[in-house]
Amino acid sequence: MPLKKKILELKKRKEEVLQGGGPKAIAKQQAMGKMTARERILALLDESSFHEYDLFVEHSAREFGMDGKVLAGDGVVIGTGTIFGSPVAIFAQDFTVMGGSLGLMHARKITKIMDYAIKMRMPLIGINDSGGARIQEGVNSLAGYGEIFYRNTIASGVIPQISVILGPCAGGAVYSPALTDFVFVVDNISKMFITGPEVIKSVLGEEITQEELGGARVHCETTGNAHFFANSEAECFEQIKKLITFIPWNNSKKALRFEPKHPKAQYKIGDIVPDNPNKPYDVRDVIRAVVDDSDFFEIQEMWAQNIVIGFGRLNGDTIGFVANQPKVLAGVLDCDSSDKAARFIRFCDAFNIPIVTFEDLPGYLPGVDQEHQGVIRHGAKMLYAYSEATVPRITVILRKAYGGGYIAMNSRHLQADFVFAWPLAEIAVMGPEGAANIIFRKEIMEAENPDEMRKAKVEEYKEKFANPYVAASRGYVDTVVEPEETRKFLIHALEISLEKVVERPSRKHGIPPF
Amino acid sequence: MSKKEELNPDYTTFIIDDTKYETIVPTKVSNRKAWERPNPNMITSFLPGTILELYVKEGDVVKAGDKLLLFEAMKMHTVINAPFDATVKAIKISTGDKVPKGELLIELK
Repeated sequence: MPLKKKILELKKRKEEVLQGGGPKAIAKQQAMGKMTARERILALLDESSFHEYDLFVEHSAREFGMDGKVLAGDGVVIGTGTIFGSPVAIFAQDFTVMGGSLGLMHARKITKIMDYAIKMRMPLIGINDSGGARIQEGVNSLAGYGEIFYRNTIASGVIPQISVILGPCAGGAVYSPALTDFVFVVDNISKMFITGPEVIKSVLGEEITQEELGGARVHCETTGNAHFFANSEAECFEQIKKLITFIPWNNSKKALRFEPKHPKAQYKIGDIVPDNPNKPYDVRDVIRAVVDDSDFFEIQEMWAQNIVIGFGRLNGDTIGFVANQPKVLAGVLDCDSSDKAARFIRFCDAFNIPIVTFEDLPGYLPGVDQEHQGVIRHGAKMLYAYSEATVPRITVILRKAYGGGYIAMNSRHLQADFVFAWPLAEIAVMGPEGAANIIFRKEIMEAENPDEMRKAKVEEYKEKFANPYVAASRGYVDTVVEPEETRKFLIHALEISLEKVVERPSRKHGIPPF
Repeated sequence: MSKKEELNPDYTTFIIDDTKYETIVPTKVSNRKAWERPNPNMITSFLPGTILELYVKEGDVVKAGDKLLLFEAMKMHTVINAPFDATVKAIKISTGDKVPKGELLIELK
């Protein structure tokens, strides 16, 4: 046949595959407020940058009615393209094709694009929208999932991996997002759980809806499984694009450098933190007062709100920020906040992103529930993550730095590169009230007026210890800076840390407290 | 910026180490139940499930390890035994009852 006819044949085959599950299935998808797989990819990637592969892959199953069934692309779209010019590998499950269920060839397509991403060292984005394993293909479906999880693990820390949950992601399938670095969810569309409501009802008799069990809000507020919450798919894509601008293509590169910008004038850094150490403020305002264009991209905003993590830029370069949040639970550390910070620190360390820590905390959250939940094990994660990180790490002690919290928040002793303190800083074993009660217990008990004596002793302790100079006198704090000088000191410290080298005894890897 | 924060009505007093902090306390923390020492005489269900069989009645004297009841949970049959020598003071459930987690089944003394 002449070339013209062959080209017509190609176009016809492509047309058929691009129909996905057909107009009826597409209409159902849209009725649920969901976009189709290709619509999502085209909305996310730069215009005309998407190249699709494996369009013509077909399943080879014969059992249980599969023989003769035509499944376009076997229910998943894979390819490569760019986002703001940065290369990305992407797959998007197609819910219109047999519910986006995963069979052998479907999984092969996903593992193929994952292998490309790892080999070509570029970020991987996975759009999950699937009913789960294709039961008709039996253990081949399970095999498919296993192959995917293995690659998620091998790619971890090599290329950034992003999961976008735009539909159900249940059963074993949900382990893939769990292994990736950032999970994006959309209200009323994302559903993630290991066992669904039907099984829970029949085995345990507990009644709960899909949304209550594993909807977007649950994973953003309660479980900590998700990192970004959006009200619509369009909003979600904007968030993903923004994240891509902050992170490098792979672990041997640094994130793209942007034009340096000054923080916005409305954030007056000297006015944010109250003098009284017991009064709250929003630490994100401090971050905004320091970063380029006051642009702070917060991660996991709705979970463990007593600690804040996210990306910003200093002098054009991406920086990871970790900060205690005094306006929630007085900024204490606890199980969830330790987990949240530790994992973020490890991501920054894996991808050459320097870490700036803003410290203002009274210690750890007391309580039997915390102890029994293992705050010992969880809190240790932060110590491990900071100590292990070899990226430049700088701490600014804004106000309180008491006890174990002082050590855990990237102290000099965990080999922080620079520790600066504000004049307001109080670096001590605990707050003046608690400390005075213990140290001067005898004097207070034996005094004529215990309340007066307690007040006097608290004042005495405050005078002597509630300041940064005791720590500075030992060199535990490199210098005390005025709030307005903070940005200048940070930028200089980061500039001179560009060639940082750390020598360590060789090991395969450590054993972090999991 | 601070003025607006100080007027935030969500703030409440939170005490750590004798120091009072003004801050937001999420309901997950403010709803924490004070820890109660578990009473070993109270035999409770460890999972939601069904009572299949009762092996004792009120007043029975049991030795450590004696069978008290047969419990079905997660599609498995589990025998619940007496943790120590005791007398059965009260039986709170009957055969066939479906119970949630943490329900009091038998009281010993």
